Amino acid sequence: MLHEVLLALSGHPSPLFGQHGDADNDLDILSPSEKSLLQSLGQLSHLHTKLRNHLDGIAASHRSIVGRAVATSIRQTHLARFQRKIIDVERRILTKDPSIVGAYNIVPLSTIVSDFGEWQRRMQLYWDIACFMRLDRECAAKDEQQECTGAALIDRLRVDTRTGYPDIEAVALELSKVAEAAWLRQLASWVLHGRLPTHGADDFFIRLEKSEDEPEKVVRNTVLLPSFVSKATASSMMFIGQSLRQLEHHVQQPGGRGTMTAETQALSREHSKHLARLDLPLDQVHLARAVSAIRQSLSQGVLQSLLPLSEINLLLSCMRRYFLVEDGDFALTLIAEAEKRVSAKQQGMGKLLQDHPAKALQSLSVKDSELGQCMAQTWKSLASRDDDEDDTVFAFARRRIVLAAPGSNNSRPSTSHSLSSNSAKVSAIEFGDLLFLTPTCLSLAIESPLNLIFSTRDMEIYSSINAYLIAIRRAHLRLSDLWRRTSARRDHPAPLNPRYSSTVSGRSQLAKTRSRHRERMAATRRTWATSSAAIFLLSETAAFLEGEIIRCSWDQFTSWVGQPPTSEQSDDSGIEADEEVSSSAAQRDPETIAAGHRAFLAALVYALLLTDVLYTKEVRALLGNIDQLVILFVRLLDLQHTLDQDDDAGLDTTHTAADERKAALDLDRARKKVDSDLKSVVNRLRQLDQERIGAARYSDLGSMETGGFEPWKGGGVDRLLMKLEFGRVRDEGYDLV
Amino acid sequence: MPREIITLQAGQCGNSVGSQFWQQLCQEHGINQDGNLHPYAAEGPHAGGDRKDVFFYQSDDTRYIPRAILLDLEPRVIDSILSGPYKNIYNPENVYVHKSGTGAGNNWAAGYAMGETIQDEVLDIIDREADGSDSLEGFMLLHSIAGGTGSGLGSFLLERLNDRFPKKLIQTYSVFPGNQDDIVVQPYNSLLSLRRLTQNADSVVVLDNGALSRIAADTLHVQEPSFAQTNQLVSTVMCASTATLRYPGYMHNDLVGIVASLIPTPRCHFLQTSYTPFTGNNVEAAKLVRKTTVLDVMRRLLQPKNRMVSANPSKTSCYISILNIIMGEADPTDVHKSLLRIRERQLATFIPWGPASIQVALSRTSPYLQPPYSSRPPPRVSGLMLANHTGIATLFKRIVAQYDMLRKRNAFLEQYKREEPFRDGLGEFDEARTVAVDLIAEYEAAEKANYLSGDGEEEAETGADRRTDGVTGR
Repeated sequence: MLHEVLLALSGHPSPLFGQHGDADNDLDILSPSEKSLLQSLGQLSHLHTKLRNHLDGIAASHRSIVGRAVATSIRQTHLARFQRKIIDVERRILTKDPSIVGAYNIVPLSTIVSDFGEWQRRMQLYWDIACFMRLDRECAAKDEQQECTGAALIDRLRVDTRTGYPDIEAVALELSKVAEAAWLRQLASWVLHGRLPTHGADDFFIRLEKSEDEPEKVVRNTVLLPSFVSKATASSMMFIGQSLRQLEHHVQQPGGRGTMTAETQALSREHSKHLARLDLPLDQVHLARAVSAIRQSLSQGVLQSLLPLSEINLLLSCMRRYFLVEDGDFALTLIAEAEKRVSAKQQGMGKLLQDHPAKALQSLSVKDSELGQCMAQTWKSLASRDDDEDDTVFAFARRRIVLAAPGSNNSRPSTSHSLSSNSAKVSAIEFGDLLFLTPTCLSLAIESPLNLIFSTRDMEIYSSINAYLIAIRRAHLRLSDLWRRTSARRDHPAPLNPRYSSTVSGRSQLAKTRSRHRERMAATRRTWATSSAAIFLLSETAAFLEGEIIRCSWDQFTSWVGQPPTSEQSDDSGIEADEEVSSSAAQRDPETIAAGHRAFLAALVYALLLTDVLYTKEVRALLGNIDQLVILFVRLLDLQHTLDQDDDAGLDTTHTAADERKAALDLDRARKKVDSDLKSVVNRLRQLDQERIGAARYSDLGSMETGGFEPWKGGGVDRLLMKLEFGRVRDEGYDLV
Repeated sequence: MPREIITLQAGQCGNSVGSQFWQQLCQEHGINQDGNLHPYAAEGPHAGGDRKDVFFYQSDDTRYIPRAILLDLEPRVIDSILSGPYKNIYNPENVYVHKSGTGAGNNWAAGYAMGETIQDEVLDIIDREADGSDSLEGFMLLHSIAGGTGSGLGSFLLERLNDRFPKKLIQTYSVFPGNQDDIVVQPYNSLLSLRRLTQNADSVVVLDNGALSRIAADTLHVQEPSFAQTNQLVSTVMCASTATLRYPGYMHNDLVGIVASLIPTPRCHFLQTSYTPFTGNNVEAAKLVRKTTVLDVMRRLLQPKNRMVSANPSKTSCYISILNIIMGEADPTDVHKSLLRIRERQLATFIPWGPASIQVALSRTSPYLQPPYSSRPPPRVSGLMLANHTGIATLFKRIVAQYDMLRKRNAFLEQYKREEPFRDGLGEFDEARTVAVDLIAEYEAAEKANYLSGDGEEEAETGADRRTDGVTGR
């Protein structure tokens, strides 16, 4: 019978036990006490059989490599140990080992049961793990394919090491090592070569997303990340692989640096040593340190030649100069070019409207080719400035900046990109449709390797800031242009020659024009006052945004980029980097810069008030109404001008005084709108001033990775408000309703 | 995109102020006496930071030539300019001295009449200069209104420019006569010029000789300041007020931007200035080293004694607008703090119907005014205030009053009657007076809260006439 028992334990079917491992009650040769003793052995044997079958399935087809490795390990190492145990017991029985064989060659069943006692618990653990990996057909009702991820398994095994049973701990530890070794292999192929694991790629936390119109995108899935990997480490890992891919891409390109291949190979050998040095099971701190060491060495070695600081600075100054309109001439020229095109279009439209109304409306939309021409013209006039002879930033920008209608790539929100999900939410109010009649946006093609720093999302933010600033400038310029309307600002044409002042007809003529001017001036006072108030608001706002916020934030950011990283900053996982690494680092690595840049951008957008929907709505309405005001004012002035000319020449006018009155009425309506919009903007600013107190004064970067960059803190709305309301503190006109 | 400005300097005062102005611009931009860049300005660390093409163009041999037109009816001042150290920078074709060289004899009418006879030649120069610029922003006229050439020829030019260049701004730097000027007929000349300044200019920077001498005397401890010294003050003001055009920053980097932010309604376009602290090569006493802060500067700019206009503002007078151009070591935080202090003390009162604020433009300054390029450092911070103040009307009132006194006695009218404009009578005087009175009324109306509403109009129209009856009706 003992032999039967042992055979059963090794997985052979036995008449001793029933289907589910219970001692068969029908077997009469056994006494009840024997039956109950056999009960546990039966269960063990049953579990063993089940486990083997289940594990075979898992090892062959589990979706996670980690799962397969663990299954194989249980199957081959741990169950083999069980097998050895059985053989050992058998051997002892056969050799009549006194520890098991008592007097008269009696082998007590209880000894055997107790001998296998520790295996009961172990076998249960294996079974639990196996079921965790993939639900057994019995346990799972229907859904057979319910499988755990590698990350979940690793986490689970880590939990199992803390049950309190030393033997379980040992087993779990062993399995952990196996699981983590498998995971580490996956990681190594990514971190050393930038390749995703060939098997079980969908179980790995990094994924490549490919779409037709865009280059591949690396995406991170935190669910597939073992819990001992911190977020920062994970992003480092992601970054390393990403850079390696770019590097490879770069080398493959014609003109790529051929020597790079050898260098990268040497590097990956170097890096594999970092990984090899790791002890299993993995320690969070050690892993983070190894990863950050790899990142450091990568960015100092290859990346610095791939993406030198000068290149980064070039890109940054280009953004500053053209997107954040440091170069005022750029804005002016672009606006002037756009204006030229739009007005030409509107003139052509009048004629078209009569002939082909449909066509006329079509012609109003701006084609990308026109925008391209507009941009080309802008660059051309900028190039004619005397100080631009060898301006690399200009050349860089000229090659890459595109003005286009926002394309389809905007429709897909890139928030799925887990990295940028934290970045600023820009108000959806559109400012890009003011320059031309249809929305346009300025953008810059970010090519590899610069996309290590700039994401498409960052670019979109720059585009919206640019549209906002340009729209404000444009309104300001259009209003200022009213001051160039000579007929409205001066007596045009000049009064008669002094000699006529003494003649009777001359005197009456002079008196007539004088009183006409006086009337006009009195009638337009309100419009001038409103225009000038609007100019004041716009120019103070622009000065505040550009002169204070952008300038100071930018200075802070660029000086941060330029500083060599200190040890605490170079490692955003909060772990001290190795001494030698930090001392030799002359440049921040691209990922840190990218994180810092994102933080900078988020803070900037917040400080520019672009995140506030109400405020942007008010400003947008104001800008639209200012446009209207300018158009109507110009119409009135033109009308008056022709009226006067005809009148002076003694002609009958084609226009009547009624036309003039109507134009004046329209104008007055537009003026009132601008007036109330001005108040609304100021009121919203006041509310913002009250809302943005304490912690809300600055953008909450909270959970965001900043790469150690501390955004500029200053420039609260109160500064702007103080200027806007300088002499009006107690004036009820501007008070909140 | 350069926004070129052509400078016309007419008469003795205009030309001597102009020559100082160009000299100072050359220093600021690192241009030497031949019009070439100093080696340090061509190659040095600061090269390219400024915008020279607003006021200069480059000749074929890359020399910088001022966009200046020098006009006079007598050769004395222009001769001295053309024999002075900077004689080579000017375009000789842009210099016009009347052949007979007799001048206008402090007579507006003679200057104006002479303008008519020489207009072909002069307008030719102006047209040529205007054609030579890409996107002409406007004209700057430098002149005094007390004498004959600056006022008469200046007036004539204002009328012609007005008609010939619509959409171009016309700004003048007009030196008004002080109280003790030695030209007896200056009330006539001033009044006649004032009419053109009112009707045909977009913006007039008013500087008056009385105030200039007072400032030179007070702050520089000179007993009797010379014209060279007061002209130095004027050219300093001009340099400062064009600083944002030449060193473009975020705001106010074109002339229309400055004009639009200072002058809401068309008629009230007379600006007064204050500047502090004064230093200059001619002004020896200013050479002491000061420690100036932004607050100091901004506070001093509001002090009446620093105003370069001797107007006597009444209690109701107020600012329509203020633009402070702060140069040197200043940042937005300093400005913010200073504005807070000034607001606390209520140092400035504003009109009731518009935005009431001190606008501040922080301007870069020339690097070449500092050692090692110059022998002594400039003040840490300096500032110019351009202000539109209703009190300036009192200056016009004074001119009208002085005119009335002379006219009552029919004094010195003979010399006017001899000239073409007055051949048929003295109607031009009456017309000019009416315009001036209207202007004063406009300023007074601007002090009222109802300026914008329709009833202000009635006031403005009839106010002037009523005042002569001693009825104000207000």
